[in-house]
Amino acid sequence: MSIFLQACVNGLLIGGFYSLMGMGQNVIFGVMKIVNFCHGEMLMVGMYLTFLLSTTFGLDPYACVPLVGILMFLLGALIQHTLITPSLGTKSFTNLLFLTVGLGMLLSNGALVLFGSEYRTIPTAYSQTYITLGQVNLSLPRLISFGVLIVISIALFAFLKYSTIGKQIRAVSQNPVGAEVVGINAKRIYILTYGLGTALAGVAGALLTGFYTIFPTAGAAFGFRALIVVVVGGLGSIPGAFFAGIFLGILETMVALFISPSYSDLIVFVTFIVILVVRQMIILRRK
Amino acid sequence: MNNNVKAVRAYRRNLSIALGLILLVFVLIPVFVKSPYVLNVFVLIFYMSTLSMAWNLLGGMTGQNSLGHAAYMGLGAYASCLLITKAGANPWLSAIFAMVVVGLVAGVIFYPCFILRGPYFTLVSIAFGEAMRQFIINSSFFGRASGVGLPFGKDSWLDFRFASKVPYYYVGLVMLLGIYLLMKKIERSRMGYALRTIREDEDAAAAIGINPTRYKVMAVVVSAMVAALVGFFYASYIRYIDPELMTQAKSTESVLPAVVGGAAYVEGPLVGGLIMIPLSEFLRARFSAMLPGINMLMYAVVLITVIRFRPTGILGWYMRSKVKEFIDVKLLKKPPVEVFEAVELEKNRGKGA
Amino acid sequence: METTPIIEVQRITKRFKGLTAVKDVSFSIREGGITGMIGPNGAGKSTTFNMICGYYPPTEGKIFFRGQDITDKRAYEYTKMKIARTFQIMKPLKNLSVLENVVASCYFGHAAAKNEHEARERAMDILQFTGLYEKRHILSKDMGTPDQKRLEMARALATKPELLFLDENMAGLNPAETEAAIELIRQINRSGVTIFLIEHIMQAVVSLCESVIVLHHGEKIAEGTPEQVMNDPVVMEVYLGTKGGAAHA
Repeated sequence: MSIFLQACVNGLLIGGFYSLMGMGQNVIFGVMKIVNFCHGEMLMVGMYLTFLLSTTFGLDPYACVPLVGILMFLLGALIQHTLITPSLGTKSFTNLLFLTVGLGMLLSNGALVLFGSEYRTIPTAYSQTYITLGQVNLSLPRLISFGVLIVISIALFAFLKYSTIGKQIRAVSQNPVGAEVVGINAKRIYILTYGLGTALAGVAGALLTGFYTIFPTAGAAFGFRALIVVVVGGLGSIPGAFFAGIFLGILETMVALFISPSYSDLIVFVTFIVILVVRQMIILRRK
Repeated sequence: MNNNVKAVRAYRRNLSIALGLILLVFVLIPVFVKSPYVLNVFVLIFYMSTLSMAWNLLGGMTGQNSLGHAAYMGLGAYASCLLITKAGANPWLSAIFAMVVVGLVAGVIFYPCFILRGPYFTLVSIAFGEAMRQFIINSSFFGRASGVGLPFGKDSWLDFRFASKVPYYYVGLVMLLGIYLLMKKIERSRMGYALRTIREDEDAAAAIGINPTRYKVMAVVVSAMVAALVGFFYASYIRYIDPELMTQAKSTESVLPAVVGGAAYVEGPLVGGLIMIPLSEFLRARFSAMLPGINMLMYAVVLITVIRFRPTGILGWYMRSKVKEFIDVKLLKKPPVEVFEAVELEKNRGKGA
Repeated sequence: METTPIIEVQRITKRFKGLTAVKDVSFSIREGGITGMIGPNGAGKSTTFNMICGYYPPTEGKIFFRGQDITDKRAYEYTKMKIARTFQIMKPLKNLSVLENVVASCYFGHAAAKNEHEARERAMDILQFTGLYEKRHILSKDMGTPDQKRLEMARALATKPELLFLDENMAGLNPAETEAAIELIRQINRSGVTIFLIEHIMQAVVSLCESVIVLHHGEKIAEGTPEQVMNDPVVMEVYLGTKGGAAHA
């Protein structure tokens, strides 16, 4: 029973990351109807940024989070302005898709060229600290990260629901032409949205560094899972992504516990395909 | 005989001579080039361009962007290798087996994904590739992460096994040309028009009597079968396969020649492959010891640059360029399109009479 | 004795998540004629049209084609039954030439061309007929609205229909272009194709149609010859009240 509980908690803690990644992906999809295939690489960039900041200035990884968020926002805004917005005009989904795929290749191989393929960590005084709650052991960095994730998720909900920019983002998601008619500058919203999505991925990366190794392809696994999260939770749905992320984290740890850790990837992907296919069938029936 | 017919014949003759010369150069390369390294680059061009053509049938012609072609190729390689090593089958038969199996698997898996529109197909193609790779890593029948090797031995056409690269060069070239002709045939057939109509607008396709799901499934099956054929060729050439063959990065690599060359054209993957693969191999050989990842970094930069500044690819640019005009009009003496139509009309009248 | 109508619509209703777009509408289309449907914006014309074309099925009710129930047929099965349609928002195959657009249509439907020769030959004939022949090598996305509307018709005709549905085929055309479009529709009808059209332009409906159906708020409020419909007090009130001048002109 205690192992089961432990696995549940671990799943929840890692699932929070999938949620955050999926929500960033969905903000972007909602507004531009493109799937961002370099989302995982953005997380990896966030990890290396944290690594650079903490080794150069001796900052605690958690203290880097706001700075990484701002830098990643700027990076995302720049990419959107110089690359994605012009390509949106060609209306070619193939091009847009491979533009983000190309960016992913650029970032992960750029990291490989700059930092080499070594695994890096950011040692902290508390990285091996555990808190025991009843029968469950909680790693302190994971717990802090999860806490921050939850705060960010709530802030994101509130931002999209109540702030003017958030309302504009939702307006563009629902009807780009209508939004333009009422005076919303769609290009500006695109930049803000892609910056926001990138910043969320970067922040997820920064939060991971407390207990995860840093290497050029570290983002791939999270990028994959973000895709699963958005499809299972519903393309464009922010709350859907949140719950799907948590579900995915728990599913993974359960498979690792009851079947075998080496099967967890396989089962995650198969579950994804099955959920998608079954849902398509149900939607088709209803039609 | 009237002038139009003469002009068309002259152009056809010039075109055949030009294409024949190009083909002759490729046929003669192994006679003059003895370096195994250079021959290897050519073999690589042949099979990667073929794989990219398989992708292009779905991506360029149908508008369904797959990111799982390395998985079909890998599955094809595994299916043929296992049939050879475990059942002692003939490699050529194993190729047919691999194509049928992979085509069936792709058709069954993707049928439901085509019912709804949107990016679902792309996402499932990624998940399918990863699921297959993870399955193989976990299966002792498939040799887990350490892969499967094909037996070495005496040179033999029956066993498709050679020490030299030259036979692979020619088989690769034939495979490339065969698949090119197949794609060209599909493009001008009913299926090709159906796929392109679906790419432009599914509602418009349904309105003229095309069942979009059916044609998309046909496209994915043909595409996966060609990828499986490439997998068979790869396995026979390298004589060793492992799950690394099926990673996401490999799938992306198979797309690049098509997108860079021009995904809207059947020739796009050929042009892209001829340019990108030698470049990548050069960078890999020259720099990868010092800077691993540099060749893929270059790939990424070229891809992004082409999409940003030449969204229709190299061929898309060429089609509207002065160079094409010069080659067509000055060198090949291509008559205006009206002349072709007049000749066609006359021919039909001749049939009617 | 009355002949069976080519299309008979029996009490169709369409609800979208609680909103009733079309309510209990019945009518029939006479073979060989031109039937029109009019109504103000939001009257349910397009919804009705889409149900008859198999784009989506009605929530309730049945649709018959020559006595055969086609309510649940899918959109892509229609050309096999010799029915074709156009779209209000034009859907040209943007990156294909005008000729290729029509060749694609020639390959499908009940009289699908066997080979490229036949398809091209037929496409050329249709381009001549619809007046697009000179523009056959232009990419369809580079043409103006009037030509794209013609292309919509050309693509539908290429499937050799016996019944043609036209969805606001004259919207956005100037009077001269409208006149040309009316002439083309007459020609198509004279060649033996039954036509059902929905239209905003009164002039077109009056001069073309032998029978008119009027929708309002998703319900049929009148049916008859153009004269009967326009003199109907209910129609005058809800529809022509604002456009009366144009209608009598």
